Amino acid sequence: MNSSRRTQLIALAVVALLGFGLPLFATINIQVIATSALFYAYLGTCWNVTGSYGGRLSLGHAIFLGAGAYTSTLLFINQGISPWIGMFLGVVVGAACGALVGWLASRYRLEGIFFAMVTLALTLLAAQLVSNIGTLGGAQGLLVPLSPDGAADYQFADPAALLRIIAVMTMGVLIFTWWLRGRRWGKWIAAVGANDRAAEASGLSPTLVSSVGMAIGGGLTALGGTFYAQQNLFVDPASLLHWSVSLAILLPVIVGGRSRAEGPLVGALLLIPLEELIRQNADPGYAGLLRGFLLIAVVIFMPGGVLDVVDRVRARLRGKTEHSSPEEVDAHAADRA
Amino acid sequence: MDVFVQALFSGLLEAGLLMAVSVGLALVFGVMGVVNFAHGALLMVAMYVAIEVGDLGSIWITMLLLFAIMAIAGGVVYLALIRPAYHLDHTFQLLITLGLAVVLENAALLYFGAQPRSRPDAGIDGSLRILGAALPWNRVALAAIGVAITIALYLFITRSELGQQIRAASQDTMAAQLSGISVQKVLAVAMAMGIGVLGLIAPFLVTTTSVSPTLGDRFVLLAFVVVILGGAGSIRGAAIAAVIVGLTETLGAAYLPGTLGLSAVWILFVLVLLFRPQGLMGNRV
Repeated sequence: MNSSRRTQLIALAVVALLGFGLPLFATINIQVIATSALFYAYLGTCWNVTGSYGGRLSLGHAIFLGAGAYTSTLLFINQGISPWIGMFLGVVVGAACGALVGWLASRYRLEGIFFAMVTLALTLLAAQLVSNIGTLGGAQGLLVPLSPDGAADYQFADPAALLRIIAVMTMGVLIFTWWLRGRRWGKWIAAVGANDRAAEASGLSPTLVSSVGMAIGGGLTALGGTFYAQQNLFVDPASLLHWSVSLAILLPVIVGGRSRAEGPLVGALLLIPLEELIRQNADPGYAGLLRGFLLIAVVIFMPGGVLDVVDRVRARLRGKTEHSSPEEVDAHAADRA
Repeated sequence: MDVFVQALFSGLLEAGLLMAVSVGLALVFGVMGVVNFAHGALLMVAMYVAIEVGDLGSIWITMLLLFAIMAIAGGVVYLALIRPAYHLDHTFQLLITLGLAVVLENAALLYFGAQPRSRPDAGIDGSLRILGAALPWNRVALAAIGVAITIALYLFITRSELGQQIRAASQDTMAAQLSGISVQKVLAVAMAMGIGVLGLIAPFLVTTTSVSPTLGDRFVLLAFVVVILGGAGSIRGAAIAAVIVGLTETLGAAYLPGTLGLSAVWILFVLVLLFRPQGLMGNRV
């Protein structure tokens, strides 16, 4: 479903307010929570390129996140290349990984749970490989060395700077997604994700479209990977290349709703602050419990997510008022005749 | 040579355990098309329960009690989580069971803590020496029980009336319904059996393996490989696949550097999904 111009403006305004308004008055703690919420909003929106309207349930987006984080970090450590530049090479690596996954999915007709399984298996494989390669830091991971140049090397003492960056990234990826959905390629990606064979029958090359779709999602996710590395100044396989990372990316999408581009944003803004509140005031295990229960409850009771429920309620309200209009009644009469 | 023999026998022992852990998952996957991501977490729960109940005089009583507890848990999971989502796409059911796994892991973390627990004292001392390989009796017993459980489940599915109804329901739901089988009941029983077998293996597993809240992760992922390789719902297939996966794991660990041993299993997983997603046995029991 395409969003109205008004919804799009509201979404952008909310992100802009969080990114640029919040640092003016909020505590550092609140800014950190907002950063986390927008980080997952960003990643969820990237996931949604192929997840929802592309129809594929990926449990492997951790790979793309890791690709970005490791590429920019390794370039910075070994070549001294600023992560501001390294992140674009990370995008290239993430997009290449995405293209490979998309190609496999289409070439071997991986549908439904089989696509989920392959992406899961590839994540496990990636984690094992990285853990055993010394130049990638192995299982211990890599520390991003502190730079005297600070901002020029994507390092900030002020958490508000990271909040502003992730807000800009989130606005960027939202605008890109809305734009893509209106284009031919966006529609092709949706068509191939929904039904490979039907799309092929109508003259598309599903392999090409599937590869490009996953490459877009993978490349954008990798950009988030560099953000993660610069925020934590540390990358390791256990916290980046694990299926629970893919789940963390996926959960806000499910909660917010997969059918609309703003779904992940809504989901992340509802979910992450709540989780952080629990994590700060109680045993983190309770935040995990909430995560699991929410996943179950949302899938059973509102598989379309919060936005889908909102859409339906609004459609029903509108339906009640419009049913009385004469044109509507005439249309129904014509239908029956 | 010694390394090879040791890895070979270890792999066979691992296979016995993997069989017992995977056959229940295979049954559920075959009957309902549901990939139960919580299968490993349920094994973790069964192990904690096995440690909590401790010694009940006889290991057989412990096994029966745990079977009953886990079978009820399986029935509840079906009624509460799978049935409400039965009309949805299988990926939604995967997400629900993933949610259940997260709930169980965190509940265990809150209740039992992250410290690993086991009952090494309950096991058998010493090792079996064969062709230069040393195999702890604990693990030999575990593997033997695993194989016995697999055979028992196979006989139940192929010989008992209930088992035949389960097969009928998995092959053609509509026809089974028309011939008077209550499909909902059959599915609940299949789920109860599939989870119940985890209770049978748990009292033995705690003698060789420490349990911690995340123990299920490794097992469920290995069981996925076994089930997909074996073929949906095929118990014989799962048994053969368990041998292949067990050997791949231990031979990989013996000959590949570092901790790359498991990556051989994940490569096998990817290859099976790409080239033979219907598994070794296709749709046969």
